[in-house]
Amino acid sequence: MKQTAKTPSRKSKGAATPLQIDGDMTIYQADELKQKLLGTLAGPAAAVQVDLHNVSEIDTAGVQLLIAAKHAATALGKTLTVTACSKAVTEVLELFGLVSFFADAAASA
Amino acid sequence: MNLDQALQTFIVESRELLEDMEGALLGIRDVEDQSASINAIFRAAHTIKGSAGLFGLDQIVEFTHVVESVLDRVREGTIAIDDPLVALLLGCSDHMGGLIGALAAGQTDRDAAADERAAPLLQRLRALLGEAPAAAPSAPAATPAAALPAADAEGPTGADHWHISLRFGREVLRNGMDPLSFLRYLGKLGEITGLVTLPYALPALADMDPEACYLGFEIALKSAADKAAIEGAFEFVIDDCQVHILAPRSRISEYVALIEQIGEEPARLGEILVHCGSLTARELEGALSRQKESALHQPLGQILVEQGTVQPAVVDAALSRQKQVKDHKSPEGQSIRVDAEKLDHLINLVGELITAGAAANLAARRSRNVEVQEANSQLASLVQEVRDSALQLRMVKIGATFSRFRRVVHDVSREIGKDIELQVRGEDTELDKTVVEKIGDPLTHLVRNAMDHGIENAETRVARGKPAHGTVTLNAFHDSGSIVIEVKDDGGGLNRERILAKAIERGLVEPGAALTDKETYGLIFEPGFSTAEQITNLSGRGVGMDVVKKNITALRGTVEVSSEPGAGTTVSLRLPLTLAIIDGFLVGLGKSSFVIPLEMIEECIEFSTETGKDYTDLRGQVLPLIRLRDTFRIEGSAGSRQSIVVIKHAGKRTGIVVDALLGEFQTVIKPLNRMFGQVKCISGSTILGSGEVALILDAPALISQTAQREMERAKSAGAPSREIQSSTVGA
Repeated sequence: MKQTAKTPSRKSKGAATPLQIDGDMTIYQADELKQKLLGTLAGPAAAVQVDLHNVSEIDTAGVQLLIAAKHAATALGKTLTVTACSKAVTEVLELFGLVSFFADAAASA
Repeated sequence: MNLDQALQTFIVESRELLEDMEGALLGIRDVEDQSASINAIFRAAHTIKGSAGLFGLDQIVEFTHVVESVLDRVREGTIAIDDPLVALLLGCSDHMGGLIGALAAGQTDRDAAADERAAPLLQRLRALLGEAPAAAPSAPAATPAAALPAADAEGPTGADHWHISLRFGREVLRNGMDPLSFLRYLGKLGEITGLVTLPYALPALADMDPEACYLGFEIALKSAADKAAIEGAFEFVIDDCQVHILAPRSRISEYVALIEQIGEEPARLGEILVHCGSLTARELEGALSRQKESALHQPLGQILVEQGTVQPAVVDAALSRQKQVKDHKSPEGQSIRVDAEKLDHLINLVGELITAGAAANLAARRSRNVEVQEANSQLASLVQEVRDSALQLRMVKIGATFSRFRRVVHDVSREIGKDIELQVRGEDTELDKTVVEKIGDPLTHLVRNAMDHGIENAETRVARGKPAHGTVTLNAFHDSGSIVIEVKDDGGGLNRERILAKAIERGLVEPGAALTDKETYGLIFEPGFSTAEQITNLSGRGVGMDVVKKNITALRGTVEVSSEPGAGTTVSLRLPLTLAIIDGFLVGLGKSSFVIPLEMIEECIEFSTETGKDYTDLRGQVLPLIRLRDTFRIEGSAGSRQSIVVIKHAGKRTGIVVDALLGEFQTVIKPLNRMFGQVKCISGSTILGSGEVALILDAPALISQTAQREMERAKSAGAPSREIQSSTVGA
């Protein structure tokens, strides 16, 4: 499945920017995904809320990108949280022991 | 799925596992780290039980289950593995082998007789299990890791799970492997009780390569699997991943070593270990302070030196791991099973190919067409390579056969109450599978004989100033186209007088006959000859050395004995490497052709001798001659340019006088019809390219026959012995 990320055109300054990712988050989409995450983080919003409820498959590459994005957000003084997960994402995050890491606003890893 | 076929696989695999188990049991006293052997034994029992369960073979499952339970205790360290237990487990492995054997024979129903045989074994096993809880020390049980120096006074940690530390390499994802799947697999081996994902090498988002892997994991795994099984989970990424596995209840010092080895921030890693539940906070504190202490008090150089001293253990571990992987791979990954019949068929076809090739070669030469000849010679060299590879397929290492004797020696030494050790050398020597199959019995007899009659009892040995425990050595090596297998003991040697007395008593030798040592010792291979004063249940069962000799002769081999009083006896079996196709050398004699095995030939020289003499001078040495023309009564007079083919067998050189040297010839051995069974000096026949038949010379028989004839002649004529003759020639 093709991966798409929608960044809403309406940019509310200072408010949370939702980022919905659809489709797969695997090594095949990794580069594209990295650009999306970088783009979103470069935006003005101080908080990024990642919605993964429509992700059908995620692998280590995908998880790794999310971790890096979270680190990047913290470095920029912003926050990144995962607000919704599909079943596939939940299973993987649980296995990696990363559920609370992405749910908390403050980065701790 | 074809159940029958699956069952056959089960039978074959179970037999192999039982062999492994037996090997591990027999070797367990000699290895330093017993845990690997214990694991191998356990794995064998466990796998057999599991597979037997699949086929609903309850009898095997029930019995193996009890064995497995005992082995489990052994693994935990609550039952010590000692000699009686080894003997008991060997008995169990035999019984399992018996059950599998019955299965292979088509018996799938429960066999009451087998149950009866199992009963005493089960009773002893259950006794061990019953006592075990009471005998179990309340102190922490020894773990496989307890093989480490006991001097390390630090107690084990409380954690009863494995701790696995993983650092994946950059290329893992790109190589199509996902750490996720390894974690999932670990989840199947047991329960992951704690896991921390470490983005230990993760660069900033903008700089990262999204397809590289930057993650590491610290995992606590509660599992009954052994270390090999856990390591096996990472087999596919082993080159791309750092894996550290700590056994349950490892010592704190081992965790310290782990923290040091990984070399990231110690405090952080320590916390992670606590987080995983592998260490308690208190244990961590102790570990870190210990580490700090050593860092404070020792200058850097000293620490490095210390690291140097640590290295051998690490190297050892790495080596044994490597060996394990190798051992693991060799039966499965690197070999395939092929029906022996298919192989035989291939060899037959290659034989036909060679014969056809020889005919083509002949035709090509007659055609005088250079192009055809060239193409043909290329073809011929290819055929030769095909032949060599095809024969190579049949070659097996003798090691497997030798290792079977560890069991024989173990059992027999118990039975006769002598402490005897088996030494094995040249395990990698290869020989034809057919030969291997047929030498098992003769070898068993020789080994038993050496143990029973050869090696003296302990008191005598000590009195003679020899070590109390005897040694039987099996040795194999290649020697001019044959394989030599030696069975050697360090016992008292053969008693020349007793052999002679016995031989005279049996009428094998005339009283007063002067025999050389070799001839005397050779008498023990005569039918019905046994010098054992007391008949034990090992030897003297009617199967004598004569049977050994018959079996070996049937394989175109020879047997020789050498013995030194007080120092031991060596029996050497000399066997041809293959039974099917050889490199031959074609010689002509009148109108007939003969083939001499090329490997025996040393050189060819021009014929020259004084008329009527049966020897010639080969660079100052006497070379006895065999005139084939006389031996085979070939008609017609010798050509003007005779040649001598110098052959070497068992260290002796002999010259064969022939009319013409016809060159090398790939010889497919066709056995002679049984009608010609009595024919001496011919070992088989082959078909030449022209379609004619050539006989293959049995050189050893030729040599011995000539030697015998000479001796008779020398005796009857009262002529000077050979030695005197040789000095005349030399002078």
